[in-house]
Amino acid sequence: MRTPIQFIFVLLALASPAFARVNVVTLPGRDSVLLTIYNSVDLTLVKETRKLTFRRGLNRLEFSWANTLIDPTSVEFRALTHADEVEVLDVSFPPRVTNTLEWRINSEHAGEVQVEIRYFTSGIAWSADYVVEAERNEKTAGLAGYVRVTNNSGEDYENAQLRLVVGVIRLVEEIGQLARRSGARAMTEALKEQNESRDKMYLAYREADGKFDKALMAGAEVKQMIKESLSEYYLYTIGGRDTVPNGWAKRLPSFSTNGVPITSYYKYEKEQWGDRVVRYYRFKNDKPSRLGHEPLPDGDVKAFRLVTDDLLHSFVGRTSVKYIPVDEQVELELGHDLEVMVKPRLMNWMKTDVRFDSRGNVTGWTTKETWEIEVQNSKEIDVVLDIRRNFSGDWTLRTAATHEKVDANKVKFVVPLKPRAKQRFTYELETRHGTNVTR
Amino acid sequence: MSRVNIIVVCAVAIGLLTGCSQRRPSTCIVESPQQRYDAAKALFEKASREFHIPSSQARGPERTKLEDQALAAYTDLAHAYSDQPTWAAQALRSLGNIHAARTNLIEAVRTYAEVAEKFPRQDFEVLMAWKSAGDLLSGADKAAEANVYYKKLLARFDKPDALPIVQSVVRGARARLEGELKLSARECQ
Repeated sequence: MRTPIQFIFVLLALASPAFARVNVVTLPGRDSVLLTIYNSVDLTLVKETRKLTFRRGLNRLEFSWANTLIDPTSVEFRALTHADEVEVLDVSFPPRVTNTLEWRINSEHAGEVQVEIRYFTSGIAWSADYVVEAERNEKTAGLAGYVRVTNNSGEDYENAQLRLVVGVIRLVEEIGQLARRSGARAMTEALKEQNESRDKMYLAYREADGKFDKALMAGAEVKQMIKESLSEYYLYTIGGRDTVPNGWAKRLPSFSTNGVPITSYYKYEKEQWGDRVVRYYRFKNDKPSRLGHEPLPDGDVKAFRLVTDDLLHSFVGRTSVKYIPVDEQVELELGHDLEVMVKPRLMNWMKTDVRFDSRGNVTGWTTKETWEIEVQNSKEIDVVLDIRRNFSGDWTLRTAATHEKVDANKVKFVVPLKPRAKQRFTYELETRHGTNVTR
Repeated sequence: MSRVNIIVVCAVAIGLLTGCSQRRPSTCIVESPQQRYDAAKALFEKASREFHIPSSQARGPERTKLEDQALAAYTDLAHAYSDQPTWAAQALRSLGNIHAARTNLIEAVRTYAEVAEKFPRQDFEVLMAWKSAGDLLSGADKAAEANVYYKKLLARFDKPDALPIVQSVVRGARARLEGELKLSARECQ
């Protein structure tokens, strides 16, 4: 596959005359590539190592960023071995090719040197997604996480190691805000400011990258994801290496856990969802739930439920979740469920206690409504229904059903239902109007 | 609406449309800043991908033809999108590169100098243009003229908190200014 970044390693003896013999001795491939993807600002730090054979004296190395989203201002070269014998003397920009730089490197060492080239590029992004597989009784579930990496950077990355950063480095966030704020200023000032902001951002990321390396060196090498807490952000390192060609997306497994305790329940609130019942799964990102090793990034969730013993699953619903910190509870709203129904009926309505002023005009009255709520579970498993009713004004509720006041205008009824069961409960709502209002 | 009113409305509409079509289209088509940025970017990428990069691989008349096409495209971009400094500055520097590749020293240096004059806030483009001008002149044994660009480069970019790539360019410019690093003409092309 074509690789836009071209490395041409040219040796030039330092003592040679003006038109020295120039030998293209090798076109070295990458030994390793490490991509650290910062989604929040569309930036990826690329660190690649190559083994180059240096001649003692002046050596030339070309790097082209044409047709890629690499930021040339971020490109760095350093020797990892024989570092004290290898020195970058100069960087120039050869005019015969476009968007190319050339390092002129003096080496006191003749032989193989491992070098690192690093730079920032845009166009590489990652997203998380999850699959929930609930057991038949909807008491426990398996939870699997995946990461999809998309490469539109213009460059192929073969056998790359991937690091994913969740969260925003505070300094970078401040810089981002500064750059956005500059929209109202003069264009030239904005450009100047953005240049400076970008430079600061790169330096901040380099500092973060150093912390990542230290954190990883301190931990054991794990073939799965390594998650390191680094104050405001988390680092996920995906085990193994993968090729991410330009224009492609790749989905990689990140974790898988079985036996996560879940609560399945159903909500009804006419003002929010109309006449339909909405299904929820709830679980906690903590150790007792066999999770809680790290925060879970934003992502799409698809939920399935086991329906037969031969592992046939039915699709339950899909939703998206926001970043879930450790020890936080998460609710998955999985859409309407026609097998659980709630039917409120107004059974009686009357106006009482009507009051008049001295001229015979109505000044106050009270309404009394009697409601019957019919609930039905057509499933073969127990369900719990959370029914919310909203009232306004000066109201009083009378009912034998268990209920809880959520706020000044909302009441919650929690109704457990056996399989294929139907229940009814009633309540009476008294609402005072006009001069009858008592509060 | 009466017939007279309809005629008047139609006449005004026709007048407006005719007026627009007789003027330059740019007076009627209002592009947003984002649209202009995208258009400039697309033009630069077309010039680079279709003409400039292939020209470096081509030989003889084919190379000349591709370079001419790249020159025309970059010139159009630099003039028509001077309000888009990111792309116009790159186009101008690329023009300088083509002149340099054709060993047209005077025109190349003049174009490199224009980058800083027209787009002074495009730091990295200015850095590359000044370094290219200095290296080109240095390679042509015009040390005094080259030093003008190296000195300007040092005055503006020699800062302790500069990015590593900028520090490397500055180090090279200083070495050349002090005569520690000499270039052949071939090396500058």
